[in-house]
Formats: sequence, structure tokens, C-alpha cells
Amino acid sequence: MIPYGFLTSSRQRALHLYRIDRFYKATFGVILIFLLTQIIAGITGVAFIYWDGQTAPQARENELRERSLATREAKDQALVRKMETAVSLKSFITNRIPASRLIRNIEEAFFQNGGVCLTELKLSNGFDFSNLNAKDAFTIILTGAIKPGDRTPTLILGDLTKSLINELPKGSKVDVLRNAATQRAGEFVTFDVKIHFSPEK
Amino acid sequence: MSKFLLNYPWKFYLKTFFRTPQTVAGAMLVKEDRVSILSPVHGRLSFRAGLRDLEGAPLLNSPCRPSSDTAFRSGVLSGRGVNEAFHWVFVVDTPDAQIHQVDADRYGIGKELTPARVGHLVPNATRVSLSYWEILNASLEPNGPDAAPVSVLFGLPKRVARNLEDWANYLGSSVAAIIPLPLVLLQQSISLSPTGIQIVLTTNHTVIALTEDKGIKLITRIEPVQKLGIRRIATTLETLGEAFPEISKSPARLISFDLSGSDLTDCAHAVSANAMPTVPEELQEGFEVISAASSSPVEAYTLYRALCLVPSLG
Repeated sequence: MIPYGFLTSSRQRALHLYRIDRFYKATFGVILIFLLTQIIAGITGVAFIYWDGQTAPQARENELRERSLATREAKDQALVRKMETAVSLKSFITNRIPASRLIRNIEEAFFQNGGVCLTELKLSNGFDFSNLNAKDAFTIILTGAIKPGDRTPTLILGDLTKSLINELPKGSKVDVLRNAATQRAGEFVTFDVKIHFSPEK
Repeated sequence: MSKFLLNYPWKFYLKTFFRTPQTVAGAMLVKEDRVSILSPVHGRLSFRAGLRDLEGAPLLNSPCRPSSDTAFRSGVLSGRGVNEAFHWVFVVDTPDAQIHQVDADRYGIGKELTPARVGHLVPNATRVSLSYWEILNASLEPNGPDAAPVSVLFGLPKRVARNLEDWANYLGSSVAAIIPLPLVLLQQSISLSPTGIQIVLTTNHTVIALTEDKGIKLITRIEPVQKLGIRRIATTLETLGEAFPEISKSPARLISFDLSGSDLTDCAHAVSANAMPTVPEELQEGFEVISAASSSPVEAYTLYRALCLVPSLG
């Protein structure tokens, strides 16, 4: 028997060694895996660049639109705030009891009581436009006169007060401010009634 | 590192990455005047001779490439499965091959056989730095840990080896060994007559060895019989026999495939009365049947012997 590679060059022996040695064969596996990962990374990179090229115009357009919307929003901020206020007041406006109805109810109460007449009606509303929680409350000061007959002015004023309470919508509070029955000076007895109406929630 | 990268067998690894190739070995005789091949075809050893003149056949002294359009590639190698898993055992006979007996004790065990050491071992060796050198022990095997008194030094010109390697590498195959023809014939002769005088006759060399129990006691290389004449060889043999008289009493065996059967018999008679020529039938004994070997049985079985000389091709 003669050794493998007898009278051959060292290159030929190295070639044989590379072919049979497991370590050298493994280096090829490592190199191949490395190259494959590089190729995959390259393909992924190219795909990303391509995809970016495809979506960039759309992204730029979206950005411009967003910027223009932000500008318009800033411009319309005051209007938006007003609209927000209007929206918050909507329920109050739609359910609001107008002052004319209150006055009609007051007139109705006066019609029901024959010995009473209305001389003055003062109506005020303390609604605060700057306050979102402000109430649409009315304060009405009635000044009137009673012509006493067979009944006392106090009873007549009591009947008027009851009529007012019946006629006026819920949330109305009726107070007698001045009853002149005790200081009667002439044929008519004057009185003042304060009605405060505040809508119920 | 550069050497590693330079010799890195990319193609081989790529071709064999997903499958382990089945190693196939083939032998080829390359002489100046003849080329023949022995390799498996469809699982059976097939011999073919007379290929020297085909275009693409390997040459000893000039580079040659067996490109696909050459007659050698298409006509001879077709069907022989010559690919990256194919190993060649080249048997060469060139006048530039050198055979020397050396003292193994002087060489030392485990030392690298550098040109300087060869020059030191064999002062009369020629073209030392231009040749590849190998040393075998007396049993024609690699030197073991125990030093043997006799070792045989073989030299082959690098140019010859390079031509054959390039030829084989062009086909993607590799070279397992390049064996001088006298070595193969000597091994054959020793296996037939373990003790005695072995006379190997080739076109370029005459090798005479005195062996005992398959171990070489004395070996020398002289000029070929065509140049020297059988009488001079017989005289040399007598001189050598004086050193080992017991061995010289044993019959001499002559082996050659360059000489015809009758020429070899004449040579044997000229050497001594009890010298015997090696006949083809002796070589075939116990060996595998080779198809188409009948045209040149000694040549075919010499190539077969060369294939068997290289132990592991994995």
C-alpha cells in the first residue's frame, strides 16, 4: 500500500483534504448561509426602497392635507367654540319657556280675580352669556291694586297668589313683597308680588 | 489564508452540498508511447488500450486539456462517470523518474522530505528541487515508527505531475496517486515471488531487487534492457548476488509488459537457467475479471494492481 497523494503536488493533496475534511466542508456551509442571509437582506432592502417609493407621494399628500386642516381648524377655532356653546345651550333653547307665556299666565291669573288689577310689570333676566352653566331665569315684579269689596284685601291677594301659582309653569316661585292692606289709605290697596321662574332640570 | 482561498473547492462543495458523492477510482497508464485506462463502466471494470493518439489524451511532457469536443473525452471517458468524485491513479513510465535505495536511519523518522534532505540522502540524485519525492520502506509501504535498514526513494518531475493533475482537474476529478510503473511491476513481482530476485523491465528503466519474505534487501535501478542489453543486466545481477548469496540462489523473476512473451522468455533464459518470465495467467489469479483485458492482460492487471495499491479513496 502506498499513501494517498503519492508523488502529487501539495495543491492536489490540499484539494483532497478540503474534499474529505468535515471542518472545511462546514466552512462552506457557514459561507453559504452567510451569503444567503446577505441576499435575503438585500432583497428585503430593495423591497423596502421600492415600497417606500410607492407610498411616499401618498404620505406627502396626507401630510399636506393634515397641515392645511390644522391651519383651517386654527382659523375656525372661534366659530367652533361658538358652535360648541350653541350645542350645549340647545336643550335650554328648545325647552325654554318664553317670557310672553309667563306674562300670558300672569294675565290669566289676574282675569280670574275680578278685584285685582295690574298696574306695572317689571321683567328681568339674569342670563350670563359668558357662563355655560348660566340659567335662563326670569324675575318678574308685579305691582297691582286691589279694590276691596265684601272680602278683605288679604284674602283677595291670597286668591291671586294661588291663581298665579296654578297658572305659572313649574319652577315658579311667588312671593308677596308688599301687602298694603295694613296701611290702606284710599279706595285701592296696592301690593307688590315677586315671581321668580327658574326652569327645572 | 490565501492558499486556503486559492485552493478552495467551490464547485465541488456546491455540487456535493445536498448529496454525498459515490467515490469512483480509475487507473490510467501514461507512457510516452502508450496510454490505457481501467475504470468501472456500469459497475464492472473495463480496460481499454491504444489511446495515445486520441486527441485529449494526457501527456507526460506537455499540458493537455480533455475538452468536451476531443475524441478522448467523448470516446473513452463517456460512461465512466468521471466527475468531481472520481480519483485517478496514474501509472507513469518516464526516463526522468528516479528510484534510489537509501538508508532510513540516515533519513530519520517523521522528518519532512525536503529537497535538501533528498540531496543529503542521495548525493547523485538529479533535478532534486524540480521533482516530487516519496520514500517507502522495504515492504513498499509508508515508513512506520520503526526505522528499517532499507528504504526506497522515488522521484518524479514536478512538470509531469502538474501535467497529469491539470488534466484530471479539468474534468473536475482529482489525483489519488502517481505511481512509477516499475514500482507497480515490482510489487506484482514480489507478490508472486516473495523471496528471490525481481527484475522489472520497462521502456525506460530496469529495476533489480533482491527480496526476502516480501522485504527488499537490495534494490537498484539501471538503464533499460533495450539500451543496456540483457548480458550487462545478467552481469550486474551476478555482482549484486554476491552480497546476498542465499537470495541469489532463488529463481529470478522477470516482469514486463513492453516486451512480448517470447522476448521476455529469451531474456529470462539469458539471465539464468532457472529465471522465469511472468505470464499473464499468473497475474490474473484470484483477481477480478476485467472486461476487454484480453487485448493486453499484463497491462490491464498492472493497472488493477495500481488501483489496489492506493488504499483509501474516501
